[in-house]
Amino acid sequence: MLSQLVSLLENKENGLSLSEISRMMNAQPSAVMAMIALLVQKGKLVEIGPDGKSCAACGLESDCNLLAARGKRYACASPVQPGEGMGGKFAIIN
Amino acid sequence: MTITTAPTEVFRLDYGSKLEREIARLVACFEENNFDPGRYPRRWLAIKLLEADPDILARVQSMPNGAQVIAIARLSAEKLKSLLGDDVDLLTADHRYGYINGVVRQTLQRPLLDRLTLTDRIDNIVTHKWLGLPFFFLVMYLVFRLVIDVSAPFLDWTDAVINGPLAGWLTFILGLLPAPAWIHSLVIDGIVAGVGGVLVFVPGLLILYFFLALLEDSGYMSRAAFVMDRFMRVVGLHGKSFIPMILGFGCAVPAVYATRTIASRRDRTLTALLVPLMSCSARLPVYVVFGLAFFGSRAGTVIWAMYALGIVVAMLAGMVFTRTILKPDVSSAFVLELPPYRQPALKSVLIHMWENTREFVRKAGTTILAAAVVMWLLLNLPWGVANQRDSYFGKVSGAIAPVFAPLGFDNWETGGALVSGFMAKEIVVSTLSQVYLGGEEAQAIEPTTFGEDLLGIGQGFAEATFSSGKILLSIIPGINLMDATAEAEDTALSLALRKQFTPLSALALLVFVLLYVPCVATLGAIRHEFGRSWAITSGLYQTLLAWVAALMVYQVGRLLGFG
Repeated sequence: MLSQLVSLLENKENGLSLSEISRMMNAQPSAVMAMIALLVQKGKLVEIGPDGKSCAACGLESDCNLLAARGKRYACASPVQPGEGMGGKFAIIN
Repeated sequence: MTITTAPTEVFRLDYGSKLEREIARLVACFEENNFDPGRYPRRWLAIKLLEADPDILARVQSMPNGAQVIAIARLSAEKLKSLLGDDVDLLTADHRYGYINGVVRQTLQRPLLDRLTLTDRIDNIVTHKWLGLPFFFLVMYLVFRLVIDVSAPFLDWTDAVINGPLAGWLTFILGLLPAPAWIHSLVIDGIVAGVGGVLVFVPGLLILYFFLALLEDSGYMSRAAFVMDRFMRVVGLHGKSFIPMILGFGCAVPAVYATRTIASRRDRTLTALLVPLMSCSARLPVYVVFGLAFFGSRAGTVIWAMYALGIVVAMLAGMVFTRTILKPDVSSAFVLELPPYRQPALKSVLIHMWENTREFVRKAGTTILAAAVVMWLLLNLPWGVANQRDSYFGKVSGAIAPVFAPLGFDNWETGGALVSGFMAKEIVVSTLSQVYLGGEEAQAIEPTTFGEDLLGIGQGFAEATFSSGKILLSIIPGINLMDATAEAEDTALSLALRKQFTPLSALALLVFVLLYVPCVATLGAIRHEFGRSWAITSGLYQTLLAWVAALMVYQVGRLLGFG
């Protein structure tokens, strides 16, 4: 599931929101949120702002009207190459 | 009787051959290194050590031969990472989630989320190609009707408290001190009239921010941006630019900074030029004062019309800029997340409401207080001037006033108030209060005790709450709790303004206030983000636009016989 989630976000420059990810994975948002939290904690995913840049660099994350209006989005922390990391594992299994 | 139980099969999740091999090796090394795991199951402990669970590592470290086992586990974890490309804790979590997902799919059939279905059904209407925009304007109309109608009794109450008991207490305290007459005049005619004239609108702002927070937290605001996308494209922008514009309904300064989220420099510049045309909350006191004084029960409609006019003029101005100095570059796609509708949390709405209103009150205590003192000085210099018309303020305002003659308001008081509004738009009301009310002789009020004042304040608040409740209920179709003959109470400022304006010239003034030069803080933000020339462009084009629009309102109105 985690590898599926990471590969879902590969090459998605503008990232995906929680509801988009849960719809694509056909899973409950609450379940997906726990996976996202783990992947963010491990540095595999980043929360991004409406401009497509990481919120971590902004510092206004907790008070951002734009995030509140648009909802949070998530993207891969860095492009994952085949054979590398979660994406690589997913590719091997399939 | 004997009870026999079937042997239970121990559940064991398969983590895949590579991981399982390392788990087995680690379990075996427990024996080899004379390590006793105590109460922990061996396999579970091996997995935790491979995952580098900090709590387990600390416990094992303190056990006999634990350090050797940890060293072996670290080597195994590194080996797995080089083989599989990830930390062991992520690999095991991946297997667990995969297993859970499989079990859930095989055992549970779940209909689509009701909330999602409801969201889709609501979106079919509110984001509809043709219904979406009328719905947006209807929502904004309802919000402003509620703000004006529901807050009106509280505005009267606040006005009565500030100009009644509060002014009375300050007069009493000043009477006890050996304060000269000019200090008394500064406090009562300057600060109470100026700052108090603006603070009167705090209840209205609380209610406005309450409804805006409801719209934002429910998820509707992102729909508004979506609906506006089609219209934004007409002016060479996209719906992304409407988000800073929505923020502009609160304050233009953060809205200008919010344009940073727009990728194209040209789109950013154009959005920043249009943002100040969105009616910020600082203009609301001006609308309310003139709306209630000249349009009575139609005040809500007039104020809504000001907000709508701001949007329409922004569209038109955008079209002109797009065809002249800011021609469109390559358009980028607009990606907007429409979150599911949710019930706003009352606590979050109240925090939002309070934080925004607190900023207004803070401004009243700093910028507007300073402006009120400066204005009082200008109205009283040269020292001892008998008529305010002969003061420095009166002379400068008198020189400016003819510019506004074609717009229907060439009195020096209004000219001066509009100039002072460059500092902050609320100061227009503050200055008008000082000019019209500051110089008035105080009406003879029957002396009351402190206790009677407090009782009166409490009773007034209860009556205002009761009246607002009746108004709120009367909005529901079929319920009418309002006395048809009841009229909003006239404030002293309303009465003074009626001597200077007609409803048509008041409307022209409102249009001018809506569109004219942004406040100094907004121009500062534009200068900071886009440079001095764009800040000057913004100030000049808006003032010219405001003058022309107010001229059209007044002159066309006169031609139609409304003057």
